[in-house]
Amino acid sequence: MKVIPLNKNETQLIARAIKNNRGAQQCLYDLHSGKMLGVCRMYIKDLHHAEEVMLNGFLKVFKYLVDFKNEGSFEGWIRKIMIRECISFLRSKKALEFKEEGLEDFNGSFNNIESDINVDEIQQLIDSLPEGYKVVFVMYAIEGYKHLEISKMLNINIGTSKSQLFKARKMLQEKLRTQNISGYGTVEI
Amino acid sequence: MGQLKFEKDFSEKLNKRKIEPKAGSWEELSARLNSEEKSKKPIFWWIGIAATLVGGILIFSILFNKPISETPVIVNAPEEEIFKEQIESQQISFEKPASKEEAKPEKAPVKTVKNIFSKKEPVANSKLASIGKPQESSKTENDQSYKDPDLMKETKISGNPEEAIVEATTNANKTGEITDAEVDTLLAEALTKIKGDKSAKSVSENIDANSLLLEVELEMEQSIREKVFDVLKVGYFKAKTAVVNRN
Repeated sequence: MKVIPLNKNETQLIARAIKNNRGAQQCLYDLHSGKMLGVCRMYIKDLHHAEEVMLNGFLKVFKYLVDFKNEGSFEGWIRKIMIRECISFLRSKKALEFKEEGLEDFNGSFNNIESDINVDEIQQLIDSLPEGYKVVFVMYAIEGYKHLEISKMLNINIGTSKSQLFKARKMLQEKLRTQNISGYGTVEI
Repeated sequence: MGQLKFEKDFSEKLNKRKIEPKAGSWEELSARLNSEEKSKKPIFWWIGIAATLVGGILIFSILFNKPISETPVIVNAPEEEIFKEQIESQQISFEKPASKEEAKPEKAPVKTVKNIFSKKEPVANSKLASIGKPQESSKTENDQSYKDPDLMKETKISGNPEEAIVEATTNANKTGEITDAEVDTLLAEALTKIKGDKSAKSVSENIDANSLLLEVELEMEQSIREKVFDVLKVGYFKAKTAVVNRN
């Protein structure tokens, strides 16, 4: 029962924000900025840059709010914009480089390692990955994109996307294993 | 391959995470939004101004092109064509059967001769002089030409008005319906008419047709220019007032 008025409230806010109502826009910003900065931080190591990218993303959100049709979730729509903004930021910094891989089999099995580390430690682990591995890993494992979608968004082959994920997983597993051995679940980087 | 166990854990924890942006981040975004809105408006006005300019150019092109297509083309031929037509009709009247000529024996040839002279302009004096006394000197020749069908054809094809006159007079002589005195008076009449026309022509010769046409064209162009300038002025003032009102 509580969800419906909240959603109603959001649609009303969106309707007002479309008409450039600053109050409504601020409400939407306050509602989603925390999560969206978290999203940007996954892709961009530097928090200051991540915040800058988030602000650019919100600028686009309010600019193209008219195009938002209340078909999916508003948060999902903003999230997509943020991810695209992060990718273009990394491209502008020439940080995104992918090695084109051949048709290898990247569907090898992984040991299902469990981890009991906190969010900051997870972030540190992700940050330790090379940019290409990191972006594909976050998009696939955290955001839930398919390889086809990733390949389209990053303008790479599906094989490259698979190889990047394979290598990222391998690297992360190795790091998690060493952490588990050395610190019983605590991270030592 | 689906999510691994550690990936699920990562995903849950990261998706729940919230990082609060620094204080004043909304103010920064608001300022950017304001500047974005401001930059939008001039583009809109520029589009309006550009549209009016394009419209003006279109109107200009339409107005400018119209008179050119409507400008009358000077044709020197009509006079001759009219003349030829006249002569052809004349010849047809000559070719008509004698029974019809008998019905109006005296008036028909006189009329045609008069018509020719009234329409005709460029007749040389020397030629007219020769027409002035035609009976005695060229009677035999005329008779021959009248009898000879080939010669008749030549005169018809050439369509020369003087020859037509001569032919008409000889034709009249043959029938014996018009006397020499009558022909003389007719020719004298025609001569005076031609002289009158010539004097009129000499007066009109001082005015060049091309210069007249050019003058008229210039006048027309000027009026079009004025119209176009008016249209552009109106467009400019509209745009100006719009920009002023916006501020």
